[in-house]
Amino acid sequence: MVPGEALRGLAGVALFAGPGSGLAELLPTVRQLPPGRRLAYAYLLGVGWTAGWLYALSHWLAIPLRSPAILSVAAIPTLAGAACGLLRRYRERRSALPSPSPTTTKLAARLALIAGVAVTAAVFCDALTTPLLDWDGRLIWSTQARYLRAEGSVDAEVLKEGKWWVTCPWYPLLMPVAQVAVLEVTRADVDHHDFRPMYAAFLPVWLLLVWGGARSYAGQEAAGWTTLAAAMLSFPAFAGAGGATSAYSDLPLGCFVGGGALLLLGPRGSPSAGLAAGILLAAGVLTKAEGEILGPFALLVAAVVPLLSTPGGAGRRAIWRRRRTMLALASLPVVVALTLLHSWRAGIAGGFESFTRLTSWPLLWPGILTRLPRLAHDIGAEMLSYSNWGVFWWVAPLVVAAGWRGVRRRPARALLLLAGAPLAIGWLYATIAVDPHFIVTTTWDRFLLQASWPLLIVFAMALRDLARRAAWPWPPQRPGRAQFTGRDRPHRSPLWRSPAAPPAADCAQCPR
Amino acid sequence: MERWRQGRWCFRRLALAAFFLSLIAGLPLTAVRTLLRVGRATLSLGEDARGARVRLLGAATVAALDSIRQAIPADGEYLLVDGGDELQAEAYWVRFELAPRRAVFIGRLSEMERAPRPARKLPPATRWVVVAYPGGPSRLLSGREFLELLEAKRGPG
Repeated sequence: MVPGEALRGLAGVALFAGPGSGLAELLPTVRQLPPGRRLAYAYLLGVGWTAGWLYALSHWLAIPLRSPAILSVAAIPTLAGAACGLLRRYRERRSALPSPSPTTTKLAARLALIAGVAVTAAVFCDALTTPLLDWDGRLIWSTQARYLRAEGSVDAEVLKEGKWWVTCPWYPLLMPVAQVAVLEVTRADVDHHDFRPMYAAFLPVWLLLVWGGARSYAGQEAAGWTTLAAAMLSFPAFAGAGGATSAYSDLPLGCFVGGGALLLLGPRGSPSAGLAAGILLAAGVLTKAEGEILGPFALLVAAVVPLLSTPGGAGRRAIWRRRRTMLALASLPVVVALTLLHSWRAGIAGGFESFTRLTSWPLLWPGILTRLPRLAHDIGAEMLSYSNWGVFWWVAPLVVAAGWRGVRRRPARALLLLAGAPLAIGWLYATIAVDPHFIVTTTWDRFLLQASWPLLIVFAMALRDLARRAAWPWPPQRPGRAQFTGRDRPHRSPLWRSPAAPPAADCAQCPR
Repeated sequence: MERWRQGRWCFRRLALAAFFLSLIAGLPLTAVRTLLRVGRATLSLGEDARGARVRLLGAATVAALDSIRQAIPADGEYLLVDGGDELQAEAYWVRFELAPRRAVFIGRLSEMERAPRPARKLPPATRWVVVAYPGGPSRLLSGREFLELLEAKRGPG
């Protein structure tokens, strides 16, 4: 590792963190988040904004993917956010607001922080010192990025003409565009791996999303232990076929959809939350083929589940009135992204050839039943692999079974639906696959990674309930009250709760 | 009823204990992988990107790829042949290394050797053929040299 090269790699991360921080400043919902989570959202927003705009400008206006365009797209939110931030700080200084009171951090949160920092440091060390060696990164994403960079366009001739040997030319290109942006701005040589830290940065972002979601729904203690468990999972960090040390798009997709969905499901429900969620879900649509389903599905869940969870027509109407602006603002970027994707794909040669070669729809029936035992066996073997997941999936069902009352809480329904979507896609893919064993062994862990953020949050909810009821290893602080008290309490009132419902209805300590 | 309550209490504690044990069980693997990467980065201090490529791919492979890149312009095209006997990924990696040069994959060398002579036709305007050998440096051949290689592999008759 040469310092100059390492700095260029880190500059690639800053290329997205800069505009993302600007957007975070402009969007009050993100601005009000604690610093760590705000930075995570800033990074996601930065990648989504910069690469998304470059994708659109290149396809619709034929603007070359070169430094002037890249820096212009990145500069707009950076400067706007900086100006807005300066103005805000000036006003705050004049009004002399009291600083927030100091908060205590629990042991679990400290341990999670230590583990998260250590694993992130290791992933960055790998990204800064080693060329790309993984499978799909070289087979698809980085090869495509080299084609795009050479032609300066997402409509590269090599993708449009059918005569060249290109694997999966129809895959959405958000991450290769982001890769091109990093390489162009840092003026990197074709062999240089300056883009790898950009992928590595998705690991801390993922951990912060898990922490933030679990913190909201299960409190600091359970969130801390869950994030610690997440940080110690090998697959998201170190797997060469989907982890942060690879150049796969699964972790970015999980982060985009997770970040967007958590904003839509969160307690704020403001227009700025909708806009931020829309940018993230649109980025998910442009990141990977599954994103086309997962992005709109997250919107659907955020729109429908709160309504279904609320009794009474008046309550539903009130919730709809309160959330419709947010949902409309979130839908807008997703619709634009879907339009862009289909418009771009219309010019790509080969259609879905690589997908149709591996699958056969007639296998769906009766394969959905007859293949069940075989798929369950293969999936079980993948999930119980110690080298990928430690013993987490051995223990998680036990914790959820013992803390099942935590999973009965209202937010869990939406989270379980969101977790089920990528897993259902994976299951369906394996069911119609010509070689299901091959598909399961090469894709299931990645679908699981996409589903990991809601699964881990649900896990945290169960863990919270379990720890409270077991009153162990920490004794209750007060009779009838477990250790989760005060600041540690999850937010009691998701926005969609009917105003008519009693306040305690969403309290985790009052399971229904 | 009391026994049922005690059973649930035990189950909960067992589940919690299992969770904490799972954290402990995962620790060695995560620690080893973390330390391995940090250690490797420390050892590679001062090594530039090219040095890292040579370390991982081998000097001969990197030299072969460099010479192929010099011969084929960045906007050029070539025919790619998998030099392995079985289906291996070497052709993919060579395509990645040579991108943005455009590849036309024409198959595996072992299969082409077995093909009857009339079938051995190369696509028109073939100037370069790259043979990707698993575990060794790739070779750049002209179209004529490649057909001669096929003939030589097949032997007389």
